[in-house]
Amino acid sequence: MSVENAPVVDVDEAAIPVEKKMYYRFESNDKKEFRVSELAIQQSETLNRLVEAMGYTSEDVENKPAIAIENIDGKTLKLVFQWCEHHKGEAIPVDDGSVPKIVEIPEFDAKLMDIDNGLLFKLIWAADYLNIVQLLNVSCKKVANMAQGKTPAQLRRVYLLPSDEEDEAAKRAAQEAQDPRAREVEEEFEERKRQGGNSFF
Amino acid sequence: MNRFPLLRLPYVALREVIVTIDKSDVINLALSSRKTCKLVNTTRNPVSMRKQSKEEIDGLDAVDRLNMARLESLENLGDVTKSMKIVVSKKLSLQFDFIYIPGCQTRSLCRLLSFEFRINPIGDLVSEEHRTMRFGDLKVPIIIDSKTTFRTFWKDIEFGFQFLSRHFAQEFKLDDIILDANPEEVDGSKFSRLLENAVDVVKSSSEAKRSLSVNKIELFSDVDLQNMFRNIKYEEIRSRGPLNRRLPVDCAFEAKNLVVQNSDGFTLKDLLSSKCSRVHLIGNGMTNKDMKEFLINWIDGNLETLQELAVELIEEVDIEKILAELSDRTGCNIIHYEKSKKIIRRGDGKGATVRASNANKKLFTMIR
Repeated sequence: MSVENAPVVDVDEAAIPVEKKMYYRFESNDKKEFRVSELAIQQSETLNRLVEAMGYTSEDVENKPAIAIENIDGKTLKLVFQWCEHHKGEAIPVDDGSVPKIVEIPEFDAKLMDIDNGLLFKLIWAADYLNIVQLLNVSCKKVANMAQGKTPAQLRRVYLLPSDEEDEAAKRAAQEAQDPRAREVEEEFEERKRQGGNSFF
Repeated sequence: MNRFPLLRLPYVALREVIVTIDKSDVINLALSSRKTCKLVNTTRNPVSMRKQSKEEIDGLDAVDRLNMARLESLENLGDVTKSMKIVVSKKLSLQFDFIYIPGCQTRSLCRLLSFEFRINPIGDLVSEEHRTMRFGDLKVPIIIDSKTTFRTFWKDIEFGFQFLSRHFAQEFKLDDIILDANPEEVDGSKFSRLLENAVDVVKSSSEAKRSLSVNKIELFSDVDLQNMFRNIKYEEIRSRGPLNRRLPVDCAFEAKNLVVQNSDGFTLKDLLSSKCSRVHLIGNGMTNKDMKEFLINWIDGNLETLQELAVELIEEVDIEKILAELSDRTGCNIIHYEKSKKIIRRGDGKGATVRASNANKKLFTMIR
């Protein structure tokens, strides 16, 4: 896909003089391409280190292939870069160690994250992978908010948590899978028991 | 319902979610399964008593305290002592103390989680806002009075008292169960029924150490006393009133610890027939002469189970008077440490320290 046809991340053109702007091109695992400003990239520790290590000039960005981000799809990456562009230039937050950790979700972020839980899961995964501290904070806070006022049984349903019984059953199944002969013997034993011990081995 | 696969998140993100969840909600999250509970306790937003400060525990509301107690019972790691006091009196209540004492026994590191359930007639629930809580199969109307107190309301308070005490005895896997009985201002037959039910709960808690606290023993009927002592061996018996020989000797005096306040009715004869290892008698009527008689019995090889005696005599302790002529007994050796403290060595080599307290002139102690 050409850069012209790729999803475009809104950039505040007026804010930065044209000659000082530096952009990078990134490609998602489903071949969607994005142009992202240098300042926005600084929100991601992973990408920031990557572009620093590559040392691209503006010409390199245009002439060389887009930087591939293999683990993230286009839909998710679009959200990530929209978030980075909106928050570009902001300081990376430092954890103050408070418990519970206090995180406010700004209006823009709340709108951005008004998405289904499947996409939210991918967004958190991407924020963790790309090491975008504040995006990870707000997206995790959104997940934490799902717990508000819920009983343990409701939380098991909301967070798809297995009960103790289900954990035990899964553990047993895993053990049996590792030792199929033992399972065969047990099944054979139970069958003999059902037959009332009348047949011989 | 919109669902989210929490446990499939990378650990860093999962930890971020847990540390931003409010305390009450994270306690409920930990209650959802043992696996989740362990996971929560690996973060800096833990729910274990071991990992929370005294201030954090003191700040919990009543529901969080109850849920924390449930978590400790689920984990049951053995370093938290869980006790329930069944109070059978004019007011019916169940008082819970969960105490964590770290291995190093440092007092400042100890944590205490306390809460109480009061049992009230449903008639008391007049035009007050209440909520319901589920206990087993029952939904019970409750009002939360404070950070530590739940008031529960029942059509039949005898049933409610029995139901809740059995429910918690089972749920919390108790280490200690204390029966605290006081018949003052309670209808006799009603008190007897409540006491009988409470005794049944104590008896059925066979894994727990059982203790008894008796108040106003003079008001108990003989049937009630028989009920309290029949077929139960208590770890400790405490009495806050004069005994007046009302405790059945063979039952009461086999408890490991016996503590009696206003113990005027507890005589030398009772002491000599005691099989307790610790006896504390406050406000007793015995004299220096009685203590001498007691020591003669011990030197002669009696009172083998007694390890510690503390008696507040009717007169000031006179160690010299108590020990006078004791060294004349066969094989007995008295080592004089100081004026108020002596060591007695019996013929068989066993020793005991006797002393008069400096703070309380009437207090005589013997420690083996």
